[in-house]
Amino acid sequence: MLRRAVVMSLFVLLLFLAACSGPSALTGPEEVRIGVVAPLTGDIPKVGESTQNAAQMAIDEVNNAGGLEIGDTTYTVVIQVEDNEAKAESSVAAATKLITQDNVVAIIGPQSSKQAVPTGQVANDRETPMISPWSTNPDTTTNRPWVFRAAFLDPFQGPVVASFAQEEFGAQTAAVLYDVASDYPKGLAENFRDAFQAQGGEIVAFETFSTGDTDFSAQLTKIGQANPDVIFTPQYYNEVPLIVQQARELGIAVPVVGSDSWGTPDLLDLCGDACNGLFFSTHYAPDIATEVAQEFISAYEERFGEKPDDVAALTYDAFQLLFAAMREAGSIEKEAIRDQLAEVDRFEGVTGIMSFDDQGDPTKCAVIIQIQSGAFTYYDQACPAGFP
Amino acid sequence: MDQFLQQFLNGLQLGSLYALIALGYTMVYGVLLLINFAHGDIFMMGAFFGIFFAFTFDLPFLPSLLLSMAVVGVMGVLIERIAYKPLRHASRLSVVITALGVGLFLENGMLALTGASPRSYPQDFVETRVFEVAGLSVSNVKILIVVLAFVLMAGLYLLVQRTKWGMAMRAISYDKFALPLMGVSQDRVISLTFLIGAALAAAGGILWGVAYPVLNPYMGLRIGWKAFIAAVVGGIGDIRGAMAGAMILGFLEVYVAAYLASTYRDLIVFVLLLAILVVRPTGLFGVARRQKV
Amino acid sequence: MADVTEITQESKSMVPARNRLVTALNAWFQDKILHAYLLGIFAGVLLERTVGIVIARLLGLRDLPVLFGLLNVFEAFGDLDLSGILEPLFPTTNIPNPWQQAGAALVDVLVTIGSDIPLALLTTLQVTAYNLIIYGVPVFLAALVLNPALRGVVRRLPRAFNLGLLVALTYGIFWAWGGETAYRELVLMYLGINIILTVSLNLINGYMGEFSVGHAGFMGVGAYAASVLTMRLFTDSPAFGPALLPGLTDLPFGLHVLIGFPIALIAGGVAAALTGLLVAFPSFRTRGDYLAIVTLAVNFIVQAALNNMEIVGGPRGLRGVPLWSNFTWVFVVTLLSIFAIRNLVNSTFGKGIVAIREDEIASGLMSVNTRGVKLVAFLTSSFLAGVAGGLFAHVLAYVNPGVFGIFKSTEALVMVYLGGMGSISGSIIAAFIFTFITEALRPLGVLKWVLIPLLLILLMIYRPQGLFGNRELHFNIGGREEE
Repeated sequence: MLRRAVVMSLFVLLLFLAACSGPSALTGPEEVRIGVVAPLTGDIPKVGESTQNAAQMAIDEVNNAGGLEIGDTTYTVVIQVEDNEAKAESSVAAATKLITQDNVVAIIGPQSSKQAVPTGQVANDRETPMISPWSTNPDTTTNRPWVFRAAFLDPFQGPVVASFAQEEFGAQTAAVLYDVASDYPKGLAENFRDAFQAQGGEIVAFETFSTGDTDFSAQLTKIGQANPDVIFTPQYYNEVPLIVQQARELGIAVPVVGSDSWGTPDLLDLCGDACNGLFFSTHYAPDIATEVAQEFISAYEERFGEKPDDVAALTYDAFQLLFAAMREAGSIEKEAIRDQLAEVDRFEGVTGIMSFDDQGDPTKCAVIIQIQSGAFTYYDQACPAGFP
Repeated sequence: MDQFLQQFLNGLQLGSLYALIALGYTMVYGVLLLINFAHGDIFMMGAFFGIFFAFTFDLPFLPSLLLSMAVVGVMGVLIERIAYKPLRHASRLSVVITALGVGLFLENGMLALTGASPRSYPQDFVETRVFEVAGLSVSNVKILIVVLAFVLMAGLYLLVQRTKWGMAMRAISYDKFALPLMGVSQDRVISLTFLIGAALAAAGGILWGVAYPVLNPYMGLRIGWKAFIAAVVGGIGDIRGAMAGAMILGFLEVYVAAYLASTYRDLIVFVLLLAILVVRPTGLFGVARRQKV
Repeated sequence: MADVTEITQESKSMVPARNRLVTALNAWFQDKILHAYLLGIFAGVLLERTVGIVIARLLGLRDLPVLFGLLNVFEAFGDLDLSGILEPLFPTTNIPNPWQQAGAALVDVLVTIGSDIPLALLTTLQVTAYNLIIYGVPVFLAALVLNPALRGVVRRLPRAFNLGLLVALTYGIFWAWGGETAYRELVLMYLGINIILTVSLNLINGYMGEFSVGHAGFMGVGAYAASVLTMRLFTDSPAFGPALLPGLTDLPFGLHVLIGFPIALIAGGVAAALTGLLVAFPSFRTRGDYLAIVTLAVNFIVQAALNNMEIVGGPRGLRGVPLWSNFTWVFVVTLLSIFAIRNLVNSTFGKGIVAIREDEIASGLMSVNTRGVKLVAFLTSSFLAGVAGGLFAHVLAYVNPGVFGIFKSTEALVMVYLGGMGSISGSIIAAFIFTFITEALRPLGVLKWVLIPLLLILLMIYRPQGLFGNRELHFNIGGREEE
């Protein structure tokens, strides 16, 4: 009996010691917690990795500078990164957990519209500000006052590329090759088609494949047969090299143009010479970037050993936007942050100057990039009508 | 007509690549009646070990290919020894689920250990050359793939039909209890099967990586499922069947995209495959198993 | 001849397998009435809801442990990143000293793990103490005190009444537990949906011995059919225009949900069952791996078809599904599904399903209408998968063809074989374990999907028949036998 009592009291003592040494909410500086939802696994793990890197960089910068000053208090920013496995249900669970279990003040992510659309519903219902850096589907923010995004939408980017193709190459005819099972390429392909036709051009081939395909020879042979002046392919950086190389192997020499999903430096390694001279539209040009962007690029490269892609840049911007709104609001109340986010009328980020419309979508310029000897170089700029 | 022929070449390449993977599937199945769902991921490991030898040891194409086949072949044997062998007397489906687990483990393990950046072989690994023959574009990679697929299939067929080991493999699928009684080690035959199957997958992986130079840890997933479908449509367990099934799948995918709507490609291709199975319930070359009553 | 081996293997399942796990669990549950255990758990949950936070703080935890503290423990390893270890050896371009870099990364990782372990151990200690105090003590006390007190009363009550009582008690436990945060409720809803999926797939893969690998396809059909119906009838949406029955939404107490949701779920189930015919008819002629391919093809076909249907958004998915699912709905539907499957497999008709697994030809000779049985089995299974899909769509308020891919099917397969082929309680426990593990391992990021397959492989090696084999749990629910 005595022995048991001794063991028990030792156990209690141990627990007490544990309690003292364990993480405690009562000590240390004030924390403010931000949730990040990213696809660390699943079909686009690179997107998750870039998100995580950019998020880590954004908060480290703030914390190393002493913390985030909001009102009279200085907060240490903590991020909690959750993997959504590139699955809608996992994304919803992650966001619900972040909001109700971890009490985050805001969520950055998810990146793909497939996850951002349902997750936006959660954020909106639970009244937590959410910024999706990369999602381009209008549904993500439509009628959701709590949801914002950092990327421009398909209906803006499609026409930009269409006009560029017509002006630059004098293209009368165009072919489109896109992934029918993925919403981003499909939306952009359709917007490009409509814009190209509206400006008097003709779409001679509108070909599709499915997510995960690596052989496009059948579609490209068909496109080659239609003999377009230009090929538009709004695909991801890991598919573009295959498309371009296979087109060249099939003897198709016409220019291939693309969209912001090309803008990952991995593309340069993977594609090699085949992509030299090609154009695509995106958010920012690394070579003529503004001071803000230059600093970001060099810091990112130094820390992670690679140039930031568009995901990293947009995620970083989303964080800066959130920090700015929190500082302005002078509070870490969700409602105050949301109101500030909605009122931003000029924010200069890595990906350019943006303001937000009443749906929470940014108005910003697109740049046209040319791939020249293994680097993304600035070529042209296109701004929406009425841009300040 | 030009387009038809060009598409024929496209289909031939795709079919040959499917065949390289389907052959491994069907071989393991023929011996163990096991659907080795990890096969697609072994294929991925092959492609990745190609990267390893090409970059870390600066080896050219052929040595990289052979070394990768050797390493991955041994890996296949180890996987069988560690994960499948303890289940040899369990229900067949437990092994299938284990294989699924092995596949998930390999692909996510590689993702965790190597990071998310997609990879490609060095520029000088295989220099792509394109020939124009009678208005058709043919690349040396295409020729290499098609030739190698047919050579490997023929070699495998001869191995299984004409050699002692091949006879043992066929015997094991016929009656795995009688085989040891004949003085043949069951374990050795099974190990040999996995060695060859995995080495074939590795060769397929590297060729795939040369033809489609964007490698990632999940590359085997979709291809694995497709090759499995091809092997079954051909009649699983039969080497000619695997080849035929893979070619059918390759040509169907190419011609449906070329002459029907590419948007509906998957839909049409799978409906057609379904139709084949409804008409021939055991695939093209498969023989209905005699049911003991 | 090869068939002989298969038959000898499979006929093992006819002999009740010695399954020490199930025997031990059964002995434990039979010993005391279930009421006592459930009341104990209920008391534990109430304890947590009232003083849980105080005890957690006393133990040095920041907050209530998440998912019984499992998640807290893994959070200690949240900073683990293994990607440096092999990246230099499998590089994207030529890099100097790859081996050196890889070695350095390995050392880094080992150091990180080493430094994480104390926190993990500490957290384990904390949450174990917490769970013992909050749940262990009440359950122990209830078993000790309530069992003798209630035993006599319970024995005299009718069995059906007892059953109802236990169901109500179970509901109460989940309701109280899930009420703490929306995250808990969501996990419980996923759990219910996973149970329906697993139990319905077990009918085909476990009881009938076929190998269906495309269950998510049926789920997808159900999800879309149910969503389209509720959106069309009850909501104004950009996809389908104004609601056809706008007046109903003005009914008091959300009566329109009470009427509309079951109809939508049934419609989803029926649509899925019709798709199930695509598998059922080929199953008359083809079996085994060939049938597996048929199910796989159906899964791909469903996905490809949905991707091509502009009216439901194609790959963009369908947004604006009303958020009608809640824990109560999921609980009721899950319960009904379990009862439906249980009654089916225990019926004379259901014995035919098992007979087909053991020997199709022989069962045909023994006057089992094999075609009819197969048809019913496939229709039931796909119907329930469709219902699960309908629930799922109304949890997410969004559906997308990508959700219902081969990966979702694989998850269902894993749960079935984890629990044991031909065991309903096994399926339920497996769904429970799988749902909680996939949530609890969240902090590990990429490593989560390395660890889960590893656990699966180990489990399969040591328990090839799954956790429960083909045996069921039996509880002591008391009550008069009415037969």
